[in-house]
Amino acid sequence: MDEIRKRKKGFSLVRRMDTPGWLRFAVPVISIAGGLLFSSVFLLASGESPLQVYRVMLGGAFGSAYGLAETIVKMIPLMLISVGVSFAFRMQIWNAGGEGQLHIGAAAATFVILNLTGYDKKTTLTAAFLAAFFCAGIYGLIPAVMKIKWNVNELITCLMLNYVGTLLISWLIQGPWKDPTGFAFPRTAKFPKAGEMPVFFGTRIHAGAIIGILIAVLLWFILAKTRWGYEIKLIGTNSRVAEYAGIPVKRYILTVMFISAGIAGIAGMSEVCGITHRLQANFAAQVGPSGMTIAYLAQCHPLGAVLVSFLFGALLVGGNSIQKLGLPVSTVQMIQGSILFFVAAGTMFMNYRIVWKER
Amino acid sequence: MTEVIILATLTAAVAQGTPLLLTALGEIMTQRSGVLNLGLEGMMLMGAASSFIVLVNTNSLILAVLAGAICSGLLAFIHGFLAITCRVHQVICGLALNIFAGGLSGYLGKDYNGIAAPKVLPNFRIPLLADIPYVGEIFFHQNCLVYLSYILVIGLTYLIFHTQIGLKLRACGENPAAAYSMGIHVNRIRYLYVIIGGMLAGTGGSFLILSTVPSWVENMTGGRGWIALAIVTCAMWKPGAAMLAAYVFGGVEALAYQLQAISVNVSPVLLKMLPYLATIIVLAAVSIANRDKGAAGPEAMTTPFIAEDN
Repeated sequence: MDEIRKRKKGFSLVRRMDTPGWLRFAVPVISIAGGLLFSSVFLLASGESPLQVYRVMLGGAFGSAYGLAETIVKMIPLMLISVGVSFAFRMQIWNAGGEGQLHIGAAAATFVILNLTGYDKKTTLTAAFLAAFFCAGIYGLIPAVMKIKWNVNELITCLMLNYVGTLLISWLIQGPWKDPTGFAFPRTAKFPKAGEMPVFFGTRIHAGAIIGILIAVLLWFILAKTRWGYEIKLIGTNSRVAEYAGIPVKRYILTVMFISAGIAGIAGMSEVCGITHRLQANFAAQVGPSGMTIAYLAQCHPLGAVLVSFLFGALLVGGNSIQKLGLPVSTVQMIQGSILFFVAAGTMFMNYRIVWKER
Repeated sequence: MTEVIILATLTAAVAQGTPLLLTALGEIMTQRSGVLNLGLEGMMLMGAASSFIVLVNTNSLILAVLAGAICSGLLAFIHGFLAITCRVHQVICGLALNIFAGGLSGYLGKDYNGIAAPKVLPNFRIPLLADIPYVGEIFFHQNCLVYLSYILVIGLTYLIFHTQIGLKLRACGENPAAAYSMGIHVNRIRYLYVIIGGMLAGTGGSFLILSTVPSWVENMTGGRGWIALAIVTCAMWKPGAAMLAAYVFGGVEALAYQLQAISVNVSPVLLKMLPYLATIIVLAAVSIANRDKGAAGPEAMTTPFIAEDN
């Protein structure tokens, strides 16, 4: 017993009743700085100058009108996927399958556009939108059904389905859907004009930006202002209490996963209709893990996710521009990860006070 | 002819299954101590990358394996610090670890892309045992890390279920408050097993690059970390069952290669899906089979431990 008492001397954490306002601001800012510093260690260790790397990234993302427009372009799929994912995270349903759902959505949209010819832009894009939403939604139901029926961890099934979805697309573009006139390139035929989303200001920014913001506002409204949203949050806080309160938790899991996955599907549709205008390989690299990171950083708030997506869009564009320094794109992933470490550790300072105890 | 193919597939199943097994064994200990570490994929990648870099530069297999274990052990320490000391949601810091380690391995490996390993772990025959028909060729004509995995399975089964040390480990995962009141340093034990788990995941990654996939490319683990995580659940946190499950998944992987080699009329892209689909199916089957047994897994997993007198 003495021994236990003896080691009680030291720092200990005391839960805060509420977090002071300045901390809510200071912790994320310091965390991001900490994350950048931590990555600097690895950059320095392999002989790169961190300042140079960060300056090139910043310049690439914000230094020109083109860079800024590209930041918004990269932000669109991130925004859609993170808004969708945060909707599920709110319920503590770990939809890690955004990447697979995105690919399925893109494939569904491609199928509709290439086969539904002779209609105007509005009809074609609406059909593609619905196809992407429903197909991806149904793909997202697989882990949900397995979870509620057999209690299978949705995180693992989602991740496995990511690989399956991505491979399915590679198969389609190398095999049955391959453009016969496309030589050896694994990609589908180019979309007809009716399948292209409108773009703005002569840049590559396309209508997906508006769709994303509308969906974010809609989900924010549902979560903040409706009974349905209240019940979703209740399930997220304590699913057992929710069940006792008579909320059909299982049905909610199905609905929320369907919507969450459907939105990820829209992200895929907006990429193929807005940017590539055909289904091709690697059209959505890194979007999956970033989407989850963004959802967490935004504390699963749909509107917050839009803002954080902008920052992450900048990170991706910045990541492309450091390739001219001879650094791989995965450098950005490393920086993202270390920021995430610090933000996660920062939640400790928001939730607890650290006190020195002597007993 | 068929016999040769079957024998080759089964031998490959053991070789392909071993990195999964090593990683899963580490995670079994981590989870049994009450910490969920989702960062297996990242730790395997980092293990593979650091092994490969050390191998290319020093040409020493022993140093390469050690480097893999140490680097992933350090990553696991970060996870431990966040999950145990900072009490961060363990799913979140696990995902963060994957993102960070995936990025770091790609960054460090940038000058090593596509280079073939200068050498691989040599297979050698165990005298007498290797002479048993069929079984000998499948199990006892492998490399030293495969033999290490046999020792680990037997050792861990004994350690976890038949010793004081194992009892303490399980107590931390099942009922940390009770363990603490018995004078067990719960968080210290959790740190220990999180780090050991990381080192084994790193060894799994080293195995991959020093034997079955001997060349570095970004994300070369291709989801094997997640499959290892699935194995832990499928095996109900038992080392012996994990061995069986790992060989099943290794077998599916080996089968996909073999079907490609004998040029079955199916696209190789679709064959690549097999391990992932198999994981989903096995997970579902195991869950259905254990449906009536109630809650699975250590009771206090993912719950940070806070001493009452703190």
